[in-house]
Amino acid sequence: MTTRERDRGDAADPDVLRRAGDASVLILTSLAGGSKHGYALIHDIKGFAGVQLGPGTLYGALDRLERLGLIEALPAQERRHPYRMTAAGAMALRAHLDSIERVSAAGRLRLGLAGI
Amino acid sequence: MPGPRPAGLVRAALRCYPPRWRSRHGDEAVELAALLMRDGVPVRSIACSYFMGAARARLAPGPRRRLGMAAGTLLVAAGALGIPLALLSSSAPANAASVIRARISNPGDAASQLESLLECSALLGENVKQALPALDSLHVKITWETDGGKPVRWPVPEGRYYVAGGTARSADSIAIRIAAKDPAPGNSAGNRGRRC
Repeated sequence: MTTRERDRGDAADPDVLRRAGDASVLILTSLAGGSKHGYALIHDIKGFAGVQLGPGTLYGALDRLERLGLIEALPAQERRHPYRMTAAGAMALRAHLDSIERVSAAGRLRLGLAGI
Repeated sequence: MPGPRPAGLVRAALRCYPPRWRSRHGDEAVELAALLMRDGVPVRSIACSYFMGAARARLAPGPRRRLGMAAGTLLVAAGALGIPLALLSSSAPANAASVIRARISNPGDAASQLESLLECSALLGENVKQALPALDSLHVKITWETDGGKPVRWPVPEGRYYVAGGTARSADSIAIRIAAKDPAPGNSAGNRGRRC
C-alpha cells in the first residue's frame, strides 16, 4: 500500500486525525483561526499549546495534511507559503475534538473528577 | 526578511531532503531556520528536526531503496550532531590537530561512510572549517591533500579552503582533497546530495 493509498484510506475515517499525529492536530487547530505560514504556525502553537514544533516536524505534518486534503497551500508570499484549512479539514478537526472530549469525559468520570 | 544565515549544519540537513521537497520548501525552510535561530532556538535542535524530517520524507514514497537513503540520512544526522560542542565553535582548521583520531563504528566501512557523508551531507564544496565537525564524526584518521595530490602538513593553510573530494586510504584512514576554490559553486540543490 502506497502512502497515497494509505492516506486515502485514512481520509475515509471520520476521525482521520486519530492517526495523523499530534503535530497535525495542533496545526489544524492553529489554522482554524485563520491562514498562516510556517513561522506563524510555530509561534501560534507555542502560544496556545506550549509546544515548540520543530521545523522538520512542521513540514512533515503540513505535507501529510495537504495530501489528505485537510489543508491547502495559498499562493506564495515572497518565500513563504501560507496554508489554510479546507472544509474537509474543519470536519476532521471537529470529529477529532469530539473524540477527545469523549475520552476526556470518560477519564474524568473514572478519576472521580466529573463535574469539577 | 533579513536575519542570521543558517549554520552549515542546518544547510547540510536541508540538502538531505529529496529534490522535490527542496524545490518546494527549500527557500522557506532556510528562512524559517534563520528566524528560529534569531528567536534563540539552538541550531543543533533545528538541524536535528530537519535531519529527522528528511529521513521521514525519504521514507514516505515507499520503495525499498528509500529505506537505505533514509538510514543514510540518519547516519549522517547522528554523525553531524554527535560532535563535541568544542569542535563546533573551534577556529579550526588553523588551530586543530593535523590528524583527527577517533573510533570507527565499522572498520570495514570507512569508504562507504566517507562517500555517504560527502554526498548526503553535501560536504562536497563545503568550506573546510564548516565541514570539519562532520568529518570528525566519521571517527577515522584524516589527512588532507591539495588539488595536486600533495599531502598538506598541519595546519591547513589559512584562508578559505573547500572540500573537493575524498579517498579511503584504509579502513581507518581517509584523505580529504581540498581546493582553494569551491569546486561546485551555486550547486547546493543540484549535484550535491544527488545520491541521497
